[in-house]
Amino acid sequence: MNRFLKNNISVITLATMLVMSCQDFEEINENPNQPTEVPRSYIFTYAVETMLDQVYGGFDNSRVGMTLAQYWSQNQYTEESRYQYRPATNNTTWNTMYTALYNLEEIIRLNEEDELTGSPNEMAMAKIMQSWGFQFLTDVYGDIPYENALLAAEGTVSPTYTAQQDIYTDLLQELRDARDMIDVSAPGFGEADLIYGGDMEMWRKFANSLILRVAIRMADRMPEVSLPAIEEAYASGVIEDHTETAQINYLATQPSTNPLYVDVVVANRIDFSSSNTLVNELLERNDPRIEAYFEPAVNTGEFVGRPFGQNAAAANALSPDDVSQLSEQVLSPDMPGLIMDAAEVKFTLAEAAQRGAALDKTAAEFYAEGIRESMEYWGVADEAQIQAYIAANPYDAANWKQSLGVQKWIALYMQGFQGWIEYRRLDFADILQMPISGALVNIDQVPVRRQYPPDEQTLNRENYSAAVTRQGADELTTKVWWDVY
Amino acid sequence: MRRSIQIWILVLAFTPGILYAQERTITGTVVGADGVPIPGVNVVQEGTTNGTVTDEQGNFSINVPEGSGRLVFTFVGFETVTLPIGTQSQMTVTLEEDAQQLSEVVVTALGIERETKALGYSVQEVQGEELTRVKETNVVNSLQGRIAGVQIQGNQGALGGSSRILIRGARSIANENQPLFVVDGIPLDNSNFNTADVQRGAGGYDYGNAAQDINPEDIESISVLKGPSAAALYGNRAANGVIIITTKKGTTRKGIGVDVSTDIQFQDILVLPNYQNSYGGGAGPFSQNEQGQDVATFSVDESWGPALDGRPVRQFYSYYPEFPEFYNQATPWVPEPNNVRDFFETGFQNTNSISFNGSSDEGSFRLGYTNLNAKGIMPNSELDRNTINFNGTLKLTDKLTASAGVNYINNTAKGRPEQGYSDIMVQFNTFGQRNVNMDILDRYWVTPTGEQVSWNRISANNPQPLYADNPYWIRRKNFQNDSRDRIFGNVSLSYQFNKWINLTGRVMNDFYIDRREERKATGSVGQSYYVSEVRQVRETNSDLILTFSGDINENISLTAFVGGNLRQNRYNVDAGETVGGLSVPDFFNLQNSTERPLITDNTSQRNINSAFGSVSVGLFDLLYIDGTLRNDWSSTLPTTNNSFLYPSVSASFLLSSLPFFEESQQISLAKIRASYAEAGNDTDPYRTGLTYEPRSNFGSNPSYRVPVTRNNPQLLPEKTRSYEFGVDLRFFEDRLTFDATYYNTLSTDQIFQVPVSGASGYTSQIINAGRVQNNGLEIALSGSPIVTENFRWDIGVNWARNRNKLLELPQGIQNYRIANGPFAVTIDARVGEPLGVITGVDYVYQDGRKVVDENGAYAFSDQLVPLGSVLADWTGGLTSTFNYRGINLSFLLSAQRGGELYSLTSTFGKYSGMMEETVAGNIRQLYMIADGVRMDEDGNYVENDIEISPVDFFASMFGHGRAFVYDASFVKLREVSIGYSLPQSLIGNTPFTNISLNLIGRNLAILHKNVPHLDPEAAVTGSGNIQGYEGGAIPSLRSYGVSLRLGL
Repeated sequence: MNRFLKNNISVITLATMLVMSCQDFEEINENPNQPTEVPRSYIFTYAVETMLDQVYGGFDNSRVGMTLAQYWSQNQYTEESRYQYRPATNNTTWNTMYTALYNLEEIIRLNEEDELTGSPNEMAMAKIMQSWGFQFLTDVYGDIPYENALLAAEGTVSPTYTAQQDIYTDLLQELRDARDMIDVSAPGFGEADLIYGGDMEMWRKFANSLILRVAIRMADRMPEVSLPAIEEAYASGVIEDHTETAQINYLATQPSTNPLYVDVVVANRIDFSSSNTLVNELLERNDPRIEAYFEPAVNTGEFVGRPFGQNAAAANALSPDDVSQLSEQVLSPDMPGLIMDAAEVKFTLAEAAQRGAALDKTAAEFYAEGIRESMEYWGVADEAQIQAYIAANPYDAANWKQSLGVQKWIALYMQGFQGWIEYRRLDFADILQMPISGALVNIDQVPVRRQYPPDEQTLNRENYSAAVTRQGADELTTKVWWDVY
Repeated sequence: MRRSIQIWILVLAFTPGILYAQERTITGTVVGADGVPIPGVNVVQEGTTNGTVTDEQGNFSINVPEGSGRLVFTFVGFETVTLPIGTQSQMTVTLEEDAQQLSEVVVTALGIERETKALGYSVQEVQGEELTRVKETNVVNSLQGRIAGVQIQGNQGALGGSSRILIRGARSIANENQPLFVVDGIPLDNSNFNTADVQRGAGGYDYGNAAQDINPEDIESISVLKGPSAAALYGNRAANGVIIITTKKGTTRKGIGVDVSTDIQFQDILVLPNYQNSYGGGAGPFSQNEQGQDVATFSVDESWGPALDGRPVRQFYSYYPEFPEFYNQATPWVPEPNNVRDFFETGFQNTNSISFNGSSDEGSFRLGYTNLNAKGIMPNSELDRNTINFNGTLKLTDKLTASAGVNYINNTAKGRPEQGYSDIMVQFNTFGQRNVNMDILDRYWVTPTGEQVSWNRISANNPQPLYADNPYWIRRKNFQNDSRDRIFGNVSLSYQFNKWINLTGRVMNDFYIDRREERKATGSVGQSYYVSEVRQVRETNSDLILTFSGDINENISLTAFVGGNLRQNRYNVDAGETVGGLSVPDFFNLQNSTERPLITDNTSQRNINSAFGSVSVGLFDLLYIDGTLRNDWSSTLPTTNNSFLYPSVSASFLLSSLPFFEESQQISLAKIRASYAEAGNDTDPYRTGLTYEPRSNFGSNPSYRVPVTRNNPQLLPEKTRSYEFGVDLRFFEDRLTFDATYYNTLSTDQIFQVPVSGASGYTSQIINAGRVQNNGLEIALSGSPIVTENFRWDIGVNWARNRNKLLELPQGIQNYRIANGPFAVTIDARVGEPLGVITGVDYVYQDGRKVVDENGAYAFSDQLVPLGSVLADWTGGLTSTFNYRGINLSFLLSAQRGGELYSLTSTFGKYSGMMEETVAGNIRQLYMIADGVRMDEDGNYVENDIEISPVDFFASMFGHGRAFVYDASFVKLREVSIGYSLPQSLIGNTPFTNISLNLIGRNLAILHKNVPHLDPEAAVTGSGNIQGYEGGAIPSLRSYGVSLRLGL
């Protein structure tokens, strides 16, 4: 009896222990390290900073964008300027951009679900930044996951690719919708808006300016859509001068500085220098922006560009002190990350006018304004100098792709990818060159797209293959849809 | 010691008085075959209860009635001896070891000792003395090559670095696949907090896994439960097997015993890359300064410079007026073939240990203290470990026994070497100048004003280091340090109701605080920083077990128990990192951060409640059957799916108990066994809810994001099913034994973080998916070919083959990324391949020849292809021991066949012109022509004749995977020891009970390997599945030394 009782007591004790401790399991598994709700503005700050940090980071703009546009050469480790790229960093570009785009999608979802505080302005800002990001990706890669992208929560983890033509058509619509949602009298994200500090009128102009960028790239394929879109956006109001530039205003203190400052100044590295492609062009035109773009060579005090695409031995034989390095302005911690500037708006309008859009100024007038906005943005204050430059580099309607193309390319300095994209589209001649020591890969032209990141081959293989079948081989030489010439 | 002698004298003194009782006294000594006295032997007058026990000296004294009778001598592990009393009053009795009986008892799940013949699954045991013969800073490494089916890889160069144990292959796609460590019933945390960067060879420190806190000196035995059947009672975390460690307890003896041991080991480099010594740093010819002197190229951290022909050249150390010896001098440009070797110092490790033990009728205890002090091969590195171990038991009443054990460990280390693609190994193996003289770097590492002197200065005019710090600067200024204080222990109360029923309750706790500090001094390459991380890890288990054991009748035995366990794990990390550099130079404190420091604050908790039961039945000493059942409830799973039940069943059939075999002279044991088991598993905490993740503020704007991994509120428990069959055969009175096991394991519904296309919005998601199969064969063969009175030769071989295959991934996913290497390859899991496939680009082939492109470099395949598996085809070990009159010689060979690794040392060592391949065949003077075919103008493939410079050729190769993936097979002479135990005849008159001396050597030679420049085991920098990526490994080491043991 006694034994029986004792045995049972132990079993009962055990059972009680189990029951008691099961109850708060749900509570135990609530993550104490991460909140379940945060203000939407915090997510917007994250998304904007992340996309710009990626695009202006050492492995995208510096090594890829700036060398593709031939603004910069490499003092050492010169593979990218010879068109050999690192596969792993390409994955990072893709993943970082898409996950940031997803955070913008999250802002839209939170606004839609919140009947009390849902804000059309917040949704519009998220959509505008999404459009900017998607256009960047499609311009670089061609067909990309778009319609089917950002749907992991709905179970789509291997999204299909959308043809670039369809993406472009939709981007136009998205930007218009976003612009029309904006209520300039209502608040946006305030200080959490790292671009315009909550000025919704500027977001409207920014949306219209992005419409210009999207539309002009469609011009060779769909002029019937492109030109009216530009006319409409222009009439609605675009970025007017360099004080309205869409840019992320980096801070002078880490960790919120321009990533280039960390890569070069903080890390004390000298991977990059000026390229002779750009320096020679600036010298030939006596372009005052050269002083804002580069420093004179330490040893000679002259502006000298490093030959583009040297191999290691050639690069080493020419000391960094013998060529022009990046300017102090470019390397300053609070150098803004450009998203879209007034010069590009003006050059785009010039091209639209040239192509026959009904605008209130001529192509030549917009062209001159473009040069002026760029000069002023880069701190060229001397009016006479600006006028002399415009006079010496007049708009050439007969060869507009050349004259407008080269000026747009010069003005897009620091926006490596945009400079390269405009080169692909406008095909201005005799400026960009093949690497002086030869390419490291089998290519005899300037690349016209970036290869898809290797992760897509493994993680999204079927859709990747379908896109390659449709668009053409996954090579640096396969043209994207808008790249007709 | 002295006291027991006194007692003996007393016993002798009273002897005459006893004679009065019409009895006589017989005295004697019981010794083993080796002449060593055996204490504790039962001496009984046959057929009576009259008996005694031998004392510590093996002496006994028994009163027997005048006349006849026999004395029976029995002792566990020895054959029973029965002797007639006769008329003698003094006898010496020799007991022979009963080999069969000795090996029959092993420690199984929950610390239960079982007879091996009754087990339906494979358990292998290693005795503590085998592990302490040659000590490792990480005891796990000592198991290398000793146990069939257990693959152990250790990072030997890393001063207490990581060890990875894989028992019967890798089961989990995403988790670490490490077995559970249980010390005296205490589940011991074996976390490895190494960053992913360290594991993927991208740089950082290897702090090792926490199981290295176990002190080999305190280990009595290690029992390895290899499969789920053996481990079923440990529940969800034992799917990868269990390492059960039993620590030493107080032994049955009189008085207090004292054991002392000391051991000294030295370490030096086993393998260094084959460097070229013909060309110096730079990328082309010298430049000339205004004085017309040749000037070396400092800014290029490669070795494509001018030939090392002895001409006078301005070198990096000639620009400092503080060093007048060289100031403005051109010095000879000469090879430095031993510069890397010169940098490394001789490692040193000293272990001192003392322990006390004793026992009485009421209880027993053991108290041990060990100090380990080690100095690594890199300058300014040291590790110090103090361990205190106490075990005690006390009989409170006849039925109630209390026991407690506690271990305190204090670890401190300074200057652990950086792993992989980071500061030091980069300049030695991947990006450096071959002409650098270490002695000069050592002596002139800093100017009197505190500026660094680096060989990699920006230019002649600018002394700032560009990419590489002076390695001595790194060791003296940028060192890390860490400490871990740990307490683990248990308290148990056991009540024996009667002969059959026992109730035991235990509480077990493992707790440690781990603190790590990393720093970079002002004036180094890049921004100065300070990082401090403090982790607290705690696991508490309480259990209650009710056991019934007894024989139902003489032919049927029954053991059964039921129990419950409550487990709680808590983890916390508080870490900070300076931002924007240090304000006050070289003041390493988070408050000295220029900007607001980056903070990490992470806490987690997991609770698991379990109920379990087991029944074991033995029939006629012929058939043994076990069954177990366990149910777990885990807090980490959704409440609707958090309960999981799993059974196991096993059987052992003793053929040798059948009449046919019982008569056999040759066969001493023949057993077949079979088992089946299931195991469930939960997941990490916080994988079911949707939350936002904090990021660094932008100025004063907070930043939060949707995590890049999507959690899953619908998770189910994981499942592993396995079965195994085995045979155990012993011949010629156990002189030859053979044990073989075949097993098959299928793991399904694995919970893991699956990478998905980033275009989905997440880069990974947590799901239940995946099927992984492992099957394999384990064979252990041992024998004693020669046994004579003075000479004995034992030899043992173990061999295991595991076939691992990923059968299934979630729908639509063909490939799971285990890790991205920093360059060229990824480590993947692909359906139809083993876990851990090295993936990258291959050559393009035409009729089996490599295709060369127009530039003369190899063309790369468009697609990423599997280049090899990180898992071995088979592993094995061979031990052999020779004993001759107290002299013991033993060695251990271990081998691995297959398995591949990617070598960054080869990739960039060639890219940068440092390795011997870059000067082979005088290619620097001529051009090279890659072996392969090229396409001619007509589209036909012809023999390649395109010239390419070696610089361009090796530069073109760095993204290539295939070219740098190597077969990791090896045969190593893992261990050699020569020992001598002084015979009793020599120490009989000393206070010592034993004295032994050992000469030891470990990792003495690699007898076979296929990886150039490296030790094939050098790629291990973590315990998990991220393997096979060598990112600039620290050279592996060989050790040799001496150990001395004394017993009082």
